[in-house]
Amino acid sequence: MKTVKIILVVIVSLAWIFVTTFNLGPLGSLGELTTYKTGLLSVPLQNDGIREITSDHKLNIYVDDIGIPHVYSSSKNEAAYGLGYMHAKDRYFQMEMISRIVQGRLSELLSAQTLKSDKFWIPYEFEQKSIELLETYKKEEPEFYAYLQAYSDGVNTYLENNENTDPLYKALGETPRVWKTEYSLLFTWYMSWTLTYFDHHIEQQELLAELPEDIRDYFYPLQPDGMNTILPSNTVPPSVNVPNLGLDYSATASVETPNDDQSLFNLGDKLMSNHKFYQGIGSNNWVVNNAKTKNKGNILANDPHLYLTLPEAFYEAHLVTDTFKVYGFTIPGVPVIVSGHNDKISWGITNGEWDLVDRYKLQVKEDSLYLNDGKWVPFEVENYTIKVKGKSDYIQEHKSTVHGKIIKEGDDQYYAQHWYAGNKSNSVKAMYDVMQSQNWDEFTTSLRDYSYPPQNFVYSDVEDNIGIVCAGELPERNTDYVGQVLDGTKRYIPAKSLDSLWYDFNPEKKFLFSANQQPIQNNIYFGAHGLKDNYRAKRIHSLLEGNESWDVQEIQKMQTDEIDISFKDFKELMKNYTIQDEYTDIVKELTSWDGNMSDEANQALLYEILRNVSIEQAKQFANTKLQVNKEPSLQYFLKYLNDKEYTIPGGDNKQEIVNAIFAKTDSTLTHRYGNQWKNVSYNTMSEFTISNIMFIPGLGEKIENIGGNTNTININTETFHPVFRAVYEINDGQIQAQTIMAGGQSGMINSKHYKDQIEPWKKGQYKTVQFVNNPNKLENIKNIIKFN
Amino acid sequence: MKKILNYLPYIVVLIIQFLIDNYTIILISIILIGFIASFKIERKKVFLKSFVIAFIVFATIFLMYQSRVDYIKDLLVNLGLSSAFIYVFFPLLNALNTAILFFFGYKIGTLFTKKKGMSKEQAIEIVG
Repeated sequence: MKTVKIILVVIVSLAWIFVTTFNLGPLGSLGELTTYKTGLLSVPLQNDGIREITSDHKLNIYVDDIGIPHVYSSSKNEAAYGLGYMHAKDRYFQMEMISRIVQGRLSELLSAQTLKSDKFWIPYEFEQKSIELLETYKKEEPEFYAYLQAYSDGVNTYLENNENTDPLYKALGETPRVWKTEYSLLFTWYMSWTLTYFDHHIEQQELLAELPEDIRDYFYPLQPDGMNTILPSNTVPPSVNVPNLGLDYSATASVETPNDDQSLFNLGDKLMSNHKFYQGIGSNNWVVNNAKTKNKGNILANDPHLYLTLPEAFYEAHLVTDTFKVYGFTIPGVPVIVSGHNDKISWGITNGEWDLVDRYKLQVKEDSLYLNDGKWVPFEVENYTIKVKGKSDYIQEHKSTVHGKIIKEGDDQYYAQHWYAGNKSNSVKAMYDVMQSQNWDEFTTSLRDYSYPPQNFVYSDVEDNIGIVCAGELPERNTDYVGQVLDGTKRYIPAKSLDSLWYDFNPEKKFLFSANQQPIQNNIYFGAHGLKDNYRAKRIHSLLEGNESWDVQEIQKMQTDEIDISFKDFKELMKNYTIQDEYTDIVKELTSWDGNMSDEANQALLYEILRNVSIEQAKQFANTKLQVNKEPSLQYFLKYLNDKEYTIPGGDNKQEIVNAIFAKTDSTLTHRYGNQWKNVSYNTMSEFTISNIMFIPGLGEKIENIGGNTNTININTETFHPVFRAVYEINDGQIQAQTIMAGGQSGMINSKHYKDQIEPWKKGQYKTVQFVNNPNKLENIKNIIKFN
Repeated sequence: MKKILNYLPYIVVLIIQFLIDNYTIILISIILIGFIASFKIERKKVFLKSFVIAFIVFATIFLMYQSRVDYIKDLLVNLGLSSAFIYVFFPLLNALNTAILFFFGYKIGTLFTKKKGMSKEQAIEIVG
């Protein structure tokens, strides 16, 4: 009996040891995390108060009650040092994670589950490119080089004395790695991947190959009439033909590759989930000049939209030196303000959504040779070693051609892909110049050197000027290039960038805006902006045009506007067609509605289902009637249904399509909510969760009671939301800012600033920015760090 | 003195958890201390003693530092659990872990002494 007891004790104990030592994904085990010294209890909280640090650097940092650092120093480099210190203090884990992603070194920190990410990134050799770029700056831009170095010193000063301050490092059983100066240059590639790595060319090729021109222009117009472009259509830069780029019209549609890298948190998949640009990505910025405002000062607004995480992508900071003063949003790891203001100018950004990817169809034999310029050329094969925490190294075999990396679609079709934004980017240096600019000339001169990711920069200054610049390097492609799959058998000649700056300055209409729409109406190909709905841009344009007396509160209200104007097209649809009696409830509800996608509205729920069902019908229409994979955008599908004069060749029963839309909407409503669907509010559909940067379950934040959809200014899609909202007003020659972030200043889960701005962000509230020359005038300072 | 020696292993397994920064070493150390203790300590309610002492210490430490892990409460709530589970995850689980590991080592030790046919006194003579 005693022996049985002992055996039982041993078995139970071994089972317990197994359970408590089993690692929770990339994190430590339950035993490790709950034991004092190895666990989370040993990570101290950061204290408020005054801290003095002996240093060669002389500066003071005042941190306010929202966690925003106000750095006061005598020189730019000291300010960079202070910003580096604060970035490390609040966001070092994020900085290390992103820099490792771009280097292809994430598995060194998080083990095999992030191999998928490393396998994608490592062949681009961004680590080496960042070192080379920094060397170039050392020789050619010593002032900027010193600035980056000072920032790096600030980061490492914090790390040297604070290894154990972030619970995430503790949970991973790791310590922060030393920051190298070149890491600051890695971030533009990460942002470029998020904002430009869209490859829709196989779908586009299919449209070009399968559809007659008139049908293509009707449903998929690349230069649609009536589009509210960013710039007026009178600026056409020089364009050069590149005759070697032959077009291939024989490609077939892409088949999505299934994910095969499963793990507890699926971190690798989540990190690599990018989206096509027409799938709801979006940002807004606009500016109205002093003639359109109540207080006779320009007002500029900016709300970029990205995939939200905690911490989010941006970090607010205020730098004051003898030579420049600047306030705004930085990307942790990069010592520049990307959206903000100084004492003379303010600026804001949206993504250009330019097409920076080329796809080439290859002729391949023996899975190793491709035809190029009449010769069979072997694939270039490079082996990359990926270090994996706790496991042996992984060897990544990377195959490429002169056109770019090889992608195999389906069983036997080879393509090559070239991503222009994978080139070296001068954007950090350009933004360094932008934040010091004092007027339009300096601003535009700075942006001439901006490369990737292309952004629309809206501008305002204390001299009452407004402007907008669509900045970035646009490849100089063949004049008839509109996103086709290119012929990979032709000789490769690299496309240079167009030498032109796209801008508008002090327009007669007294306002400017961008909402990721097409920059200009001309024959230059920027991207497939015409393939997506234009409702958001139209809404912004109509609001800005319709009010001649704006104030800050109205601009803020506009940033949280939740009107979906696509509803007007549906109203027309309901007028044009006989809706069957059984769906009169739906029609009745929508007839009395104003298109407001408020979270409380039942009509908003009904409409969102109707809209989604219509998109499904558009897909079905594309597949069955047009025989292509890509559906027309909703606006062109509705235009077709409302068009009494045009029907596709061979005829079409539009009434049947409309009947199907309403039938499916009705069945979806009753299936999801039963017969009581009229009592259900939109909130049940519109809520979403902001995940932690590591996608650790429970560390995110569920956002309820929020409205909006993909067409509203206050965008709310499955994946993209406003990361911050900022309004910059010129008042008596001073710039006064109001801002709010979708998260908080700190990336540390144990910080009170981890998500303290979410609630006001959700409610559309703002905080007033403190932008003062004298630190004694700062209010609500909780923490002072003095370096002397 | 004898009483102090009798309770010393229970205390030592706690102290090491505040000094060593490697969980594998902590785990092995607790088992080893339990093993050695089997030759020395009074063989009465070992598991219970170990658990109660550990729980009192860890609960005290947890109450002192719980503000450091307040975010775990949010995490639990987000996962649909009660925030009170934090008391299970930290003091209770830690105390249970310590007691089980200690008891495991202790039981192995008793097995060893029984196989050798030693009395507790003989074992104490050999070890100590």
